[in-house]
Amino acid sequence: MSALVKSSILKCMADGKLVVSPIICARQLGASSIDLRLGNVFLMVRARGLSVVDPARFAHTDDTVGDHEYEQARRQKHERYEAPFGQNFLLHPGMLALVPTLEWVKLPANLQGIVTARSSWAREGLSIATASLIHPGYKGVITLELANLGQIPLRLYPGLRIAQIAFHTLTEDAAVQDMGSRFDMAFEPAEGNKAHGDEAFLPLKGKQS
Amino acid sequence: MRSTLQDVLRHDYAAGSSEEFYNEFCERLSFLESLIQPADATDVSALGTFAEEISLLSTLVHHMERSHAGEFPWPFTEYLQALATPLCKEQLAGNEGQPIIRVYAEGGLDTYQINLENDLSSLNIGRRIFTIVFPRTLRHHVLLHAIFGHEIGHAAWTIPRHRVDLLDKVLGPLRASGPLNSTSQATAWLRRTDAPTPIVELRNQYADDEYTEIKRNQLDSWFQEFMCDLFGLVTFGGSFLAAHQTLLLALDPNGYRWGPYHPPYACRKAMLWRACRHLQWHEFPASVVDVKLRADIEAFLTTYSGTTPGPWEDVFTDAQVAAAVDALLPILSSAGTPCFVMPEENTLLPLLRMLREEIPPCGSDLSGSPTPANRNVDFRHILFAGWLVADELAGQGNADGKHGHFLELNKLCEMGLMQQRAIDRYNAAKAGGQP
Repeated sequence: MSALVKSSILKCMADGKLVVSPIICARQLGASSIDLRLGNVFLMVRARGLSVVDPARFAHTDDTVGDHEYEQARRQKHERYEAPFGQNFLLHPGMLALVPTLEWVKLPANLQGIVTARSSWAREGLSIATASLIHPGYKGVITLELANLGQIPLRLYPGLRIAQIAFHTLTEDAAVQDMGSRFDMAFEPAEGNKAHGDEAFLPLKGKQS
Repeated sequence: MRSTLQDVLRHDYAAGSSEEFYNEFCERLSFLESLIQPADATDVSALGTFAEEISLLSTLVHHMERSHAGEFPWPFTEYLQALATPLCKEQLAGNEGQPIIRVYAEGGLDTYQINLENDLSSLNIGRRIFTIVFPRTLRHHVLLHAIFGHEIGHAAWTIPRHRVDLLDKVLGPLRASGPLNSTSQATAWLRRTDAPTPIVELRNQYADDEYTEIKRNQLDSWFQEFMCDLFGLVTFGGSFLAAHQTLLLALDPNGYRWGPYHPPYACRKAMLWRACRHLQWHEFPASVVDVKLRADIEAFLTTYSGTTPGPWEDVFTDAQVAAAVDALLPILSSAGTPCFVMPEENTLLPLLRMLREEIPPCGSDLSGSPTPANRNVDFRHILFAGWLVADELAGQGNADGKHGHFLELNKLCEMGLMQQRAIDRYNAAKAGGQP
């Protein structure tokens, strides 16, 4: 497993195996990474009457399609805001917001991506991604988990270069059955299922304490 | 009313977008107050008028509340505004008045609207409110939003300086002859014995002569619809044909229903077929060498504009439609609204490739060059590429078995439009212009 340098990244892109689209200017291309820009959708985590993170709500989801309580709890946790280019969004201290990248990313079976903050923003207290591994075969926008760890609000403008992605080759191609995920073809941030495969450790639906 | 207005500012709107509307609303409210305060409490007529105006303002506040950022696709809306606003400027007191644009979402599947306030006299106000309404449930369906081309026509119709030309030069040729030439001829046409089966069935279903008698207002409305279809065609091109058919046949699967405002879809399609031929969209320049592309575009145009129409549906001649289209094009171009131009092969092929590979289509340079050269792409060409791929998928019988493929395709195009906005902005800034 090794990291790709700029020329290898560009070759993968020219071959059509790797897609990062659009790359708006040459400045986005680093020695071994590509800068990613801030997209336009902001899912702000807000404490409201029914806001809670409870994996048990995701358990046994077959019977929760259309379930009022389930859907309401999911929707109430995030406030969605959309800002066209030229407008801005304030990330207040202690706030967490899920934001997509402007770029659409497609990874081949033999590459994985690592997303990190650009240092200029990290120095201001902006944490970009806590779940930074992008698995092989992924296709979609990348969700950035923005958190302001500083003490003053950060004004963020869609389109700014805010994160970067580096690529690592794998020892061999990932198996097709291992590549799929519910986030594939992701057009905007979404809440992840925190119960999938762990239902045995969670109370039955309706039995949450 | 003021309190309600202030309350709606609790919601999030795209920055700055509520300010113009808020200020205009305050001005109207103050003006109305100045009329109401000295009014005679026994003047029932005046009080009735004031009540109507207050009711109208109340509706406008509701529109503002429905304008949350995220309720409608803003990249598409920005492109649509650029297309429609020049046409909808109004000559007011010697100055061009820029309308105040409000965009909001509403229920229903056929709520597409572009409305321009008609009457500015009662409140003595200076600026019209120009409203764009999206159906909320079709929020991501940007391919269907090409139907807004038709709505641009309705908005243009409300502007006196355009109406004269539209009446004389566009509708004039269409109304000059044919089975819809007069109400009596139109009624006879609707009752013809060679009418298609769905028409006969509808006539039998409502065995009342009144139902098949075409009234003056009805015929006027029908002609306005024909004219607006031509607006849609010349502003949005092939995407309009596809969106028009998809939406209208969803609500009227036979395409033969008629009403007080709308003529049967089959007749509208027949007119569009003649207009496409006149615009020579079926013919390709020699530079288009990709055989599959030529075949795909031909198949697409055949699907959505049809082939030689039946004798009953064919209510206009080639000469009538050609004269109407030729009159409409300069009206749009002189107003600053660019008409649709069939994309070049080197524009369309990369967009199609991106869509087939499930990449949002835009002028992104995928060559892997260290100095990327992104292109400015007309948003209507992105939509056209989207429809070509939708048609391709439909032809494959949705072989991938994914029910949501049309929605995904729309979302790819929606994202492509957003990315194109970013490219346009960057290129404009680089060229020293305003984004």
